[in-house]
Amino acid sequence: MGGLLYKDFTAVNGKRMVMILAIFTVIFAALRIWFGSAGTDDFMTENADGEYFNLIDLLYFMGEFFMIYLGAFFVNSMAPRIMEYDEKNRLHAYLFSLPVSRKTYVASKYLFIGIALYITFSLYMIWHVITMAYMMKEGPVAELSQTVAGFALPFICLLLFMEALEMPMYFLFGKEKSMMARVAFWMLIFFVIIWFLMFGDLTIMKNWSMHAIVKWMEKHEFALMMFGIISPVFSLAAYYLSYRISVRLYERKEDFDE
Amino acid sequence: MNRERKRLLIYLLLSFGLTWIWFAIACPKGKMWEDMPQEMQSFVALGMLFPVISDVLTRWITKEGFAMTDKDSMMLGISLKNGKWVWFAVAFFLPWIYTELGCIITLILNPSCYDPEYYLVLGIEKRQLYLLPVIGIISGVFGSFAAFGEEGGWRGYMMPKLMKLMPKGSALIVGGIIWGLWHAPLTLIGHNFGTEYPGYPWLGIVFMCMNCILLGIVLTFVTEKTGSVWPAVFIHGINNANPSILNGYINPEKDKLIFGVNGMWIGLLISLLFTAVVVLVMWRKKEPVS
Repeated sequence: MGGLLYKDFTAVNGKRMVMILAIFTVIFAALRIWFGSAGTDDFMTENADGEYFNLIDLLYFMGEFFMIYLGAFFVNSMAPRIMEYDEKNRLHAYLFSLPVSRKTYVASKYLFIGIALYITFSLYMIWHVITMAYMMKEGPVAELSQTVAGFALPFICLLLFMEALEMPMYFLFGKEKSMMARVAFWMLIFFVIIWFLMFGDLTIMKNWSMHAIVKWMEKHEFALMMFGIISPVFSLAAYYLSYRISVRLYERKEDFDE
Repeated sequence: MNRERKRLLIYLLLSFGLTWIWFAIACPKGKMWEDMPQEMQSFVALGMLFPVISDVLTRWITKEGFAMTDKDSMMLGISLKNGKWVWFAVAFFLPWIYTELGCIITLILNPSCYDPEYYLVLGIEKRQLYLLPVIGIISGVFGSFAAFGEEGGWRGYMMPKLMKLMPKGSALIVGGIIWGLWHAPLTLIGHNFGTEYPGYPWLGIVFMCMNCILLGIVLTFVTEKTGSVWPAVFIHGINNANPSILNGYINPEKDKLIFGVNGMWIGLLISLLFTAVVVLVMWRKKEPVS
């Protein structure tokens, strides 16, 4: 199992990625302390609503925002990459001549994606803590940062759920066909949004603002708390179920191959 | 000098050095723990990551390698076979059990602490209060990176080395003291016990060492049983998330000092002592002394 995980780690240029992320995190923290200790009053500005905020805070918020959303989508794109690596290098025949069962092979893929999501979420948490350390307590940026943090875990759970839906397709149809299905799905979502923007009732978005979202979150605190409990449990259960399905599909595929 | 001892010394130097430098840089000058906003406290607490960073650095310096599983490894693998899954299940619920037990002991020692509506002061509704243990478990597991930062180093490197150098009992005590002393700068600025107690800060450091010895026994036990640091990480993470319903009924302002320290800590310490004794009995049963 360790060897299979290391193979996937190499396939996604893991060592380089870890180094880059570690260096970025150190620089991120060091600059935060430096700016925070020096005082950042010179960087104050005002938004259209007349609220004051700090530009350095905004820059840091953008850093943590990209970490969670781009990082998570990057992990989401890892699954096809590690599948492609095996297909391209014709590793299946070699791997299954070794004492590696199909179940172990499937488990390694699921574990790898699970670990990558855990690391992404952990790194985001670290960046969020660094960002919040010297941030102005009141103001739009602090509100934004806390709102994004509130949705971080459900977002990771949503991605885990999406992986749970996608992974069996990779094992059944291979990378090429699964990617086509994936692109078709996102195109469908894209066209639905375009259709809504062209023909939908846009008045429902009239009162949307960060304040409205924060107020809504405060009003529905208990519901969000329940969602925060259910979403990790549900997504983990779905991920495990997906793993069992993938093992079944892949073992059956072996019968067809033979 | 013995090779293992040398490696351990390098690890301890790095772990203490890097963490204490971090505390010195990150702590706003002249501020005590309770004067800092919560965001700044979390920032300072990132020092928890340095034990595992030191583990990686030590392995790189001493060329020990970065094996994930088996002997002399970083113990990062997870195996649920041969009944090991039981210890993972225990890891999820044990902190909740001993925290509630600690609260019960606190209430027995100091009944005036009982406040039937204290959870409202904490800004928690009654229906939310009963969900706190589940939230503690989920946040302790998903947000376990900080606990991993400590356990990856203490359980993944220091304890196996100490156990090679001395008998298990001594290793558990020495390991707990080292772990407790590592917290000393934070205890000094009032983390855990505050500053308003007689014998500050030395008594606080002694209590922290005792707490670390007892919790360390439990954490080292589950690590040895599973060959993985993850159950210890989950216990530590959930422990830090404070998964307790009864906490919502204990008003710390009515709490009185026992042996010079906050009564709630004494409750938790007694409950941990009980848990550690149970663990030690189980350990002895599995490995009878010849």
